Amino acid sequence: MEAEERDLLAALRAFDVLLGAGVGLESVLINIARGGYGAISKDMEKIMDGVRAGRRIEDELTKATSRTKSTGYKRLLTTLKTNVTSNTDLISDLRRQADREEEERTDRIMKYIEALEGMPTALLTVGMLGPIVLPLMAVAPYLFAGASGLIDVPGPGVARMATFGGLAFCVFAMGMIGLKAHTRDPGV
Amino acid sequence: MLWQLMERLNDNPTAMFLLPLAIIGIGGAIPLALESRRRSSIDGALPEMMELISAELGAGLGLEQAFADVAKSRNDVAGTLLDQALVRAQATSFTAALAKFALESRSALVQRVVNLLDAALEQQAPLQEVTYRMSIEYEKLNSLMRLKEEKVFGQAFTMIVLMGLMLPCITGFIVGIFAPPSTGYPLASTLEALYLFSAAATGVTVAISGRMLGRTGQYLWSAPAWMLMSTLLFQGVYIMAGNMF
Repeated sequence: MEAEERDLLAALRAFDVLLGAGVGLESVLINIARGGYGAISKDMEKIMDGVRAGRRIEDELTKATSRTKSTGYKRLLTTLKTNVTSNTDLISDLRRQADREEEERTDRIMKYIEALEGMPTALLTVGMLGPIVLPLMAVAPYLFAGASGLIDVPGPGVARMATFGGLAFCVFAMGMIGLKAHTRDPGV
Repeated sequence: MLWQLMERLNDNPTAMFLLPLAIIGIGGAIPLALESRRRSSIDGALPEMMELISAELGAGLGLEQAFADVAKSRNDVAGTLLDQALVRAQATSFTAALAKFALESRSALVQRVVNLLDAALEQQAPLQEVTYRMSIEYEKLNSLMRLKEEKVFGQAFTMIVLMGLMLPCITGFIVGIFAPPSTGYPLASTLEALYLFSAAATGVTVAISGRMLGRTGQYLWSAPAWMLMSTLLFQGVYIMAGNMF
C-alpha cells in the first residue's frame, strides 16, 4: 500500500467539503498542504511551493502525477489538472472518486479480516509443534543411549544445539506469520 | 510455601528477568489503554456532534451558539472538552478555542474536522452543509472502524489465549509427562530454553495482536506481563505433571 493511499479518502472528502462550500481550488490545496493528511499534505506542499515560485499549477500537478506510484492519488491529481485546464465539474468527479475509494477501502478491510482468519491456527501449529518435537530431540541421546551401535545418535551437545536452534526458528517463523498483520493493514 | 515458590522461581531465569519488566509494563499499559478509550469515545461522538451542529445552524443559530448547545447537551468527554474550550473562547477567539479543543482531544479525526471548519469559516462558506456532510462521512468511518475492531478483536483475543495460556499448559504437561525431573535426564538447559520459548512466543503473539488492533504501543507495554504469566504457567504445569506421573 502506497503512503498516499492511507489518507486519500480523507483528503478527497476534504476537497469535496471545501469545494462544495465554495472554497477555491488553490485555497483547498493550501489547506491540505497545512498538514493532517500525511504524504498527501507533503506532496501538496511541494505543489504549492512550485506555484509560489511562479510555475503553473497544471505543470506542478503533472509533476506530482509522475512522482507518485499510488493509482488513486494519481487519479485525484489528473482530475484536478483536467479541471484546471478544461473547467470540468470537479465536485461531482471527486465525489464519484471518493465513493469508489470508499468501496475499495471497505474491500481492503474485509480482505484484511479474511487474511487474518487463519493466523491463530498457523501460529498455534508452529508454536505447538516446536516445543513438543524439539525437546524429544534433546532427550534422544539419553533415550537411545543403549542403541548407539544400531543407529546414529547425535551427542547431547549437538541435540541441545538443534533444540535451541529449532525453538529460535519457531519464534522467528511465528514473527514471519504475524508480519502480514502489518503488511496487509489497510490503514484505517 | 513462599520460600518454596521463590526457590522454584529461581530455576526460571526468564521469569526472574520478566518480573520487574512486567510490573513496569503494566504501569505503562494502563495510561495508554485509558487514552485509547478516551480517544475512541471522542471519535465516536464526533458524527453526532456534527449532525447536531448542522441542525442548530439550520435553525438559524450561529456557529458559536451551536457549539455551546452541543457542549451543554453532552455529558461525555467530547462535551466536557468542548465546554472547557468554549469557556476559554470568552477570553480569546472562537477559532483559538476550536484549535485548543482539537489539540486537547488528541484525536486526528477531531483535528481534521476543526481544520476543515476553520477553512470553511475563513471562506465564509455555508457551514450547515459542510457539517452535515462531515457527520455522514465520519459516521461511515466510525462504523467501518467498529466493524474492523469487532472482527479483529476476536482473533487477537483467541491468539493471546491460545499462545499465552493454552500452549504453555499443553507443552508443560507433555514435557512433564515424558521427561519429569525424576527421570534424571540432564535437561536443565533445555527447560530454560523452553521457559524462554514460552515467553518469546507469547511476546510475539501479543505484539501481533496489538498490531492487528492498531494498538501496538499499548500491547507492547503489556507484553512482559503476558510473557511472565506464560513462562510461569509452563513451569507450574511441568512441575505438577512431573510430580503426578
